[in-house]
Amino acid sequence: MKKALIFVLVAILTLSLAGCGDSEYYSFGEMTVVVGYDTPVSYTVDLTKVKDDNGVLSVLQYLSESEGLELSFSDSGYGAYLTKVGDLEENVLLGAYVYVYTSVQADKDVTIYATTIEYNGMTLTSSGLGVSEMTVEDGCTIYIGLIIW
Amino acid sequence: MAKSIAKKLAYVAVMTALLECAKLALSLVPNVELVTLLCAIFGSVFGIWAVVASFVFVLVEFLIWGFGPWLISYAIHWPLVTMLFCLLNKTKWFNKYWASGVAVLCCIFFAVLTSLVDVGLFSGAFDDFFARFTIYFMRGIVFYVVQIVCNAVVFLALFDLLKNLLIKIQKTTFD
Repeated sequence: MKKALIFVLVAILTLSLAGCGDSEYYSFGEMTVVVGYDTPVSYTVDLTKVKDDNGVLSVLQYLSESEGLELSFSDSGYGAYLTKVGDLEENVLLGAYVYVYTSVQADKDVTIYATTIEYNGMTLTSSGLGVSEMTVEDGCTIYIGLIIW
Repeated sequence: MAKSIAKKLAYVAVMTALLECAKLALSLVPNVELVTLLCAIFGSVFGIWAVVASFVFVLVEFLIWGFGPWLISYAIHWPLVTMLFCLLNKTKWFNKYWASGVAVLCCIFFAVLTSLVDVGLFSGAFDDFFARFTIYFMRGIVFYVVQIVCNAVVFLALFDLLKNLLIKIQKTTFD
């Protein structure tokens, strides 16, 4: 009985420690973030290093800390709203806005406002969710560009 | 006669300005709005002139934000709400509880209408229409619930109060 109890305690301790890593939210995986300049710049992100659970916003915050990617966003009741990523910056007078495209099927914009972009042979669709709500998963690609409305 | 028309047009301008101010003032708070309440009260008190004001409000929105499919939803919804309250106010049984219930139905209608339009009802984008409509509607459901609850409470608290106040103004200056 004593041995069984010790076994159960060791198993619980082992399982609880197995979850400990740099990230509380992602135990494995990599994703790609592309900043869509004329010559796009691509970042490969190790998801175990991402510390928060605010969707793609957390990944961008991680890139801001680790790679010095400039990042500005406003936070309203509608969720986070990107105003600057790297050299891509919103300009309301020109009607230029930071726009996020995703390879994740569940997040794709399903309205008539949806647009697509080609990157590395993939077709990415504009996101139907705010950047802090977007899904982060192993193998996904997020492309950040400017759109003129 | 000309003076009377001028006075009514001035009322239309004031109603439009109030609708636009109410919309802009609360635009940072998602789906908390007073436009439904104002359309309802204006429709109840000023009748067809309030419907004209709701059309001008849609026009002002177009001048501020430009054309988009959302404008179709606006052009259908706000004049319809105003007209509905204009007609319901003529019945004897209509009170703030009924007004609150009708406001809730109007919000549900707005949620469905804007989703249908955004998904492509009037643009011919019919591929997987109902699947896309469902996804889009479900993504926005929290916002719709906020709008419904907000209007249910606001109508119960303010509908009678503001309507009676406007009736006093209407009796002394409108006719």
